[in-house]
Amino acid sequence: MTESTGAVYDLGYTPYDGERRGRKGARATVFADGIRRVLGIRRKGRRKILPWALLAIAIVPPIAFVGISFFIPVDVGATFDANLQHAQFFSLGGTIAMLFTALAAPELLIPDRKDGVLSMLSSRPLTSTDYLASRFASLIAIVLGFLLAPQLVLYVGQAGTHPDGVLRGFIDGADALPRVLAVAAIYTLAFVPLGFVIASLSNRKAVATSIYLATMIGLTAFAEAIVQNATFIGSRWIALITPINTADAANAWIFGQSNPGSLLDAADIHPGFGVAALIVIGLAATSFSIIRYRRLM
Amino acid sequence: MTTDPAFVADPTIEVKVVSKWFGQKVAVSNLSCSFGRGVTGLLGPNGAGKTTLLRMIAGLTDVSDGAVSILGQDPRKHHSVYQSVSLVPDEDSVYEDMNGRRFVRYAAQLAGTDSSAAAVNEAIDLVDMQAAADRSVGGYSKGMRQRIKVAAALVTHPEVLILDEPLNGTDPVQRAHLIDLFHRLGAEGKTVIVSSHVLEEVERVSNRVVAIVDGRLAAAGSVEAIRAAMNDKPYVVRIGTNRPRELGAALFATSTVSSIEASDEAIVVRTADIEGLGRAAPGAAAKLGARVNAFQPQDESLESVFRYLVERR
Repeated sequence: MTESTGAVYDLGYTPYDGERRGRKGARATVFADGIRRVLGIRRKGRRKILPWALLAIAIVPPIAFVGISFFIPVDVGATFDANLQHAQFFSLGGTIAMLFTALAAPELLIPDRKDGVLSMLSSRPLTSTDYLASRFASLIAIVLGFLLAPQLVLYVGQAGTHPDGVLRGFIDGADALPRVLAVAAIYTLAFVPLGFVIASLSNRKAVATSIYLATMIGLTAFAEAIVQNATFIGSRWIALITPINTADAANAWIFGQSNPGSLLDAADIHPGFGVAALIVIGLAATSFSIIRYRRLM
Repeated sequence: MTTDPAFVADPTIEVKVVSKWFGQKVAVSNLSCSFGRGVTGLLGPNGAGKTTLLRMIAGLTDVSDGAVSILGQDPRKHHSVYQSVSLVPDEDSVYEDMNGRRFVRYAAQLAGTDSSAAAVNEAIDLVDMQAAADRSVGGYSKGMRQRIKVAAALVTHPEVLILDEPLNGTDPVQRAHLIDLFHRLGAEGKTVIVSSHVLEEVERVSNRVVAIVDGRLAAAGSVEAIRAAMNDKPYVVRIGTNRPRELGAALFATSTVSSIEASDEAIVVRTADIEGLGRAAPGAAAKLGARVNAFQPQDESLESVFRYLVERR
């Protein structure tokens, strides 16, 4: 007969005298977690499909464009209008960035509230503003990535097909970089703060995504109806509440392109006013999100 | 040096005349106590204000009045204090789609402590969760969630560990394991607060108990000392009757009553033996032909905790 034996082992608890990184480390952790979360990194396969599919949609057209330019035996440099290409790919990239924001902003904010993790986050060296800023930074970084990746492909492709050599191509193409960065920042400003404020108010990701898209599209439709039909004084200024139109108009303006059919054009408003309106809307939305999270955390 | 058992000689956490209200509801009222190194049980029935008090101590909820300090600092103003504090909240507070190991690592990264595989493994071992650590938290039972939350707190190596109902949903073996762990942490000089609405759990976790009822401090000290104090404490009971003076005189003749105040419709009786009073009052009223329309302990909430502590009801 086997005698039954038992033992209780002291697993111990090693004292820790190492570094504690504080707020900076906590912010970096929330930021990195946000990047992984929205791109589906270290998550199930189905979580990766949408973000990577959108990135592919954003990046394949400029790759195709550059590829065609490379293989067509014409004087590419003469026909390559860099400003037009930058503006066109921003217009496409902007739409994709908006769709991405619609998916990513709820993914960044809602699970933390729904799963009750805010309590854990709050009891770490992290203020509510730190938390929100880190999540904001994650989304901004990826949205900028979505907007800039096609532009980078274009820049490299443009340099590679430059008639005076690659180096000359890089130098010439660099002239547009400040404008590229400015337009990317404007699109980000148009999409991200509103995405955050809507995600901060809803407890369901699908609902937040739907409300965001409905808001962005609805604002444009509403403003178009007012600008085109209303007769009251100052009705044209309603055009300033449309982030999509404003960002598109600013894109065309900065790259010196015409933007036929633009709501700001129809309302006879300079795109500079549109950018100012985006800043005001962005600040208001961000302030609202901060106030909301100060109450939650 | 204070002798009030609500306070300890060398506190790491001080709660000074703290109140918290949410709109019209008062969750915590003028509560003062302190906590030191070692394990303290925070006892109280559901809805007593334990979670609110712990959230105020951890700085998650602002106080409406009074002050809380943890390691000498106001947690709402000095976020650096969180480098030494970990809270295990009562709510789930876990990412459903994350596995346990990643959740613990994330907690270490947030706290800025060692998040290496070895450190994460050590914390997971402490709560005996190695076998399930690579499974998604969404599939965990309540007890497993509790344990992975404790691991996520331990991996940060806190000086102060605040656990809100950590034994909820755990089976007896897990409970014994966690209680042993809390003892060891307390013995190492950590400040550990464990809340529970179950007296037996609190008794096993710690000999020092802070009991709150209806947001007020109801008792503090060792369970034995509280029981002894409760036995000596008079109860105040209001008896509604149409013949207060006569009934008061009749009851005063019994040895269980220490004082009586009479008004037009009732008497207020002080007694150390509420059950004896309960037996004597109907008989005395019947003899006098008096009608009794109320028999109300004047401090319902304290009454319940007294019974809770003294009689384990």
